[in-house]
Amino acid sequence: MSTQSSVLKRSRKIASQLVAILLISAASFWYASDSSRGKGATPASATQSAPAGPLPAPNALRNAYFGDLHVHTSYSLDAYAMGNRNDPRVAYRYGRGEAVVLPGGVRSQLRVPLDFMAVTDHDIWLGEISLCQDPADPAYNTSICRDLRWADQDYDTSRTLFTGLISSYFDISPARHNTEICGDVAPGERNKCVERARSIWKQIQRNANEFYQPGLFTTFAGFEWTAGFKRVGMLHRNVIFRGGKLPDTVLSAVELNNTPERLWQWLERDCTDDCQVISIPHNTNWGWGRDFATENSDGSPFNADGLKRRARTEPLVEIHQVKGNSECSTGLGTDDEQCNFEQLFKPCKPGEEAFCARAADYVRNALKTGLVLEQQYGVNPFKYGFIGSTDTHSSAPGSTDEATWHGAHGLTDSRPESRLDRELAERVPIKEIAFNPGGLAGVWAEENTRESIFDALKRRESFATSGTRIRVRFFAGWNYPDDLDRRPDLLQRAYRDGVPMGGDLPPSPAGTRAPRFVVWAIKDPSSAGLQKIQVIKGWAEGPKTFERVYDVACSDGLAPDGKTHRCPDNGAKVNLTDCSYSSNKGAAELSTTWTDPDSNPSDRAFYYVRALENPTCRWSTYDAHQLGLKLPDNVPATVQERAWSSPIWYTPSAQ
Amino acid sequence: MPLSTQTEIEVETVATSLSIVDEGEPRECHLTSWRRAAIPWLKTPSLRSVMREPLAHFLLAGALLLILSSLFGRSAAGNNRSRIQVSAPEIQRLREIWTRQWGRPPDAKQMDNLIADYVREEIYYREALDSGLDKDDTIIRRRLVEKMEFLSQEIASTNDPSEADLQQFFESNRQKYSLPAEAGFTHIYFSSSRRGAAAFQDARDVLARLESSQISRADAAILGARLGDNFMLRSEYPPQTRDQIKNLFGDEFAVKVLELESGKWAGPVRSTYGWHLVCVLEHVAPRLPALSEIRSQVAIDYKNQRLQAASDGYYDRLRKRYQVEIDQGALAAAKSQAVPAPSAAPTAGSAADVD
Repeated sequence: MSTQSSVLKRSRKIASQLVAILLISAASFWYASDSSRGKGATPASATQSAPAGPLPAPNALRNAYFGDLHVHTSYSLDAYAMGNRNDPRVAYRYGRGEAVVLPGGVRSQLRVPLDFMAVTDHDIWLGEISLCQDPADPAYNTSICRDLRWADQDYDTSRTLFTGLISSYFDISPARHNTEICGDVAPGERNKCVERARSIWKQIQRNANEFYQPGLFTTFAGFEWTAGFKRVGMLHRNVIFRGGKLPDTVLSAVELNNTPERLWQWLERDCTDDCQVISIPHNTNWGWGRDFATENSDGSPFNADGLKRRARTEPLVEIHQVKGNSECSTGLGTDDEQCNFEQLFKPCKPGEEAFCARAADYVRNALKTGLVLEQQYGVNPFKYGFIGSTDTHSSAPGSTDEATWHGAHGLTDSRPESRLDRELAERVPIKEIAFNPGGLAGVWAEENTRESIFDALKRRESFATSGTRIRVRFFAGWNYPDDLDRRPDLLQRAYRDGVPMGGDLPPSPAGTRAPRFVVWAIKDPSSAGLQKIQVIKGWAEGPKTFERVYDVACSDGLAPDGKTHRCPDNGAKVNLTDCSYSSNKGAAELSTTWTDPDSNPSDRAFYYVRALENPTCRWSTYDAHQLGLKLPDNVPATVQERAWSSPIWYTPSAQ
Repeated sequence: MPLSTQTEIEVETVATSLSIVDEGEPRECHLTSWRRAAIPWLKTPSLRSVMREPLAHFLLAGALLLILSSLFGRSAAGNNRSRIQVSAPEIQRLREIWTRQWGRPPDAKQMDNLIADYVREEIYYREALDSGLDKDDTIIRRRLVEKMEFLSQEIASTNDPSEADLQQFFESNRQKYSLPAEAGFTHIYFSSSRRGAAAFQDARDVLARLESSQISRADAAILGARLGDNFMLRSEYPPQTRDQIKNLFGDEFAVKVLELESGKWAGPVRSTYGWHLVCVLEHVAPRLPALSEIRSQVAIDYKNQRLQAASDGYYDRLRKRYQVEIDQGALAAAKSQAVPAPSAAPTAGSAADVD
């Protein structure tokens, strides 16, 4: 027993270190020397005023664009400590399709450039990392700064330092700045780290503006608001601005005492007029039950005004990224067999607090809870549309290809040997092999501009992918014809007589009973064919919630079973020795017009689509091949890449 | 040769720091701007005309060199100044510091890195002393070196490019900005998923109808989805390069479309998704765009180049002035004591692949 308790103690200690790590991975930095000295700096709008030519006419029926809204660079504390020295300009160059040398020395280039992106460096320690690189400041010679600057030395140094730094220096869950760097001044105007962060925030905006090319490549100014709590629990959010006059500075999780309610208040107060902003939570799988708690972050009960503010500010959630999938987890509120996908944690055992999964951490369950909360408070605080993104800490946005992934954590996972075998940092009990290359954000927008793409995000006409470029459309209406997906005026009619993904189905008109859905997906032109499309429905009967998964379109001429609602196996195979896959299985395109067979117009409900590819090799299989090793037995050899539409909600007329 | 080599170097150092490293411009331009900023009395008309005389330039330059030579000449101590010896005790010292910090001795690669850093540090240190950066404070040697490093970053990060800078950069990199052939097109889609093997024949039948019925291109485009199937991507594209078309439809389709005659329906052309009848609306030949079309792109590249040149060029130029002598025996001995690394580290830059 004593052995056990010492193991327990040790694992608690590790956990606290992990917390710090995660915070770090959320927090970030910067190093560019020019921002802080500002005088000769580029005006924020210097390059954006010169578009290459007239934009093509906007498409009223909307185009799909792919982006990455979660990207860390050398401005981020943890990325810097992992030895990543590529700054936001390098990240933008990578995202727009240029070849770039990644941490570790590999030269890499996206096969297909991104259409849009945001660099979202960690808010906390923005000033500290900058000061650490400024020889004109006394902080430069502190031992913590010396250590940080050493982190890009080589793989082992970076690993050792990252481990050391997170445990000894970055225990930042009690919100505070580092006094060694910032001095003993309380956070506020006179704290030099806060002052420095203000000038870096200006630099962040200049970087975004420099790379914005309307019609070709849209960039957003933003940052990651990195609130944490015990044992690396994450209340993290990416804050993305549409444009206009942005707030003067970033009020970080330190300044706002790790309190999301204060973030929403601040944004509402300081982002006004032509400034628009959204805040996108992520890694709810690291929430230890807190991200979708049914009370305020201080434990006080919800109130309608606070929830309204939250719902206004947070229309989206990032459900897939490097550090795991947050849609759902088989066995936690669902028996959906497809929820066992890129899960980082196992279900919590009794008494287990952190680094384990509970039902409340998952988005699908939160959507269900939201239906109940809406009955209580008149507002649904968990009315989330979906995006995916990478959360790269290697300044490599959009690098989601399983076959050519080079890691996401600077030098620490830049080598296949370490990705397959090592833990995230020394003494940290999370294997790098459990990570994945992350996802992409898709939107349906009229054109590739800040205004158009931001507005699509805001109205939730967005979808998430696991990194593939499946395109998916989803509409709902009461009076759609039952073959609408095949009609030539499909889109005109779908918009006119119904709502797209992210929307609200109006109350059922007299004489109608079941809503109808147009479901449509096409494959990534450079990946495997589609296996099937599913509709996932959740609903509430009073305080009780339910869910059901329907396969609605199967490939290869198959049809869903009427009882199980599942497509038969289409027989697609992967050759694990060379990763080739059946080219004669799967569909280039699947579509259907689907009617809910179990509709009850008096129940609140949501519906979303999940489109699945045939299996292909997981990144770890490619890495094992490269090294001539046998395939790892602790992860699947293949994955089914997928896309998720944002939900459509149905609310009965006043009851 | 009235001046010593040493003095020439000093002058170059000063000129560099005044001119903010810009290889593209003749050095004269910098002296001009420096003159204006620093010596207001030069603005009076009579002096201005005097200053236009080549003799005045010569005298002024000579005086400047004299001043500089007297300021810095003291440090000219023959060849020793440009010789760096990494001696056995120094190698041992570096090794010990590292070992203390990391709790294990450096391996061979780390030892090399330590030496390379030491050399770099020594060079910067000497340069810094020569530039007089030690005058204002009693700050330590490392700090001086970092000031020099900082200077190189500062140099690159100040100043917006002028229109003339951009124009010049654009002219000298024109080939890089050549645009490949593009084609704008409209198309009618026949889904293989929906029609199976019949998709190809259906497309041919519709093509025959289009050819015989004289349906106008505009009408056919509008009729597209009625004649074929709905397509999730766009039905009409403005001019696109082969890569852009490939990313949407696959390469076979991209190659074909760029070869089609414009103004008439053709096909069926196969894509990743099925078969298409395609009407090329416009071919755009490969060309060099005007600066105005790609100004923001050029501005980004120009800034990248300046940053790169500053970080690479600054040290390289300094490094060239030095002969470095390393006690190879002592280095080899230090390396042989190294504990082998747990796994082989990749050599930076050697593993090149492209996503």
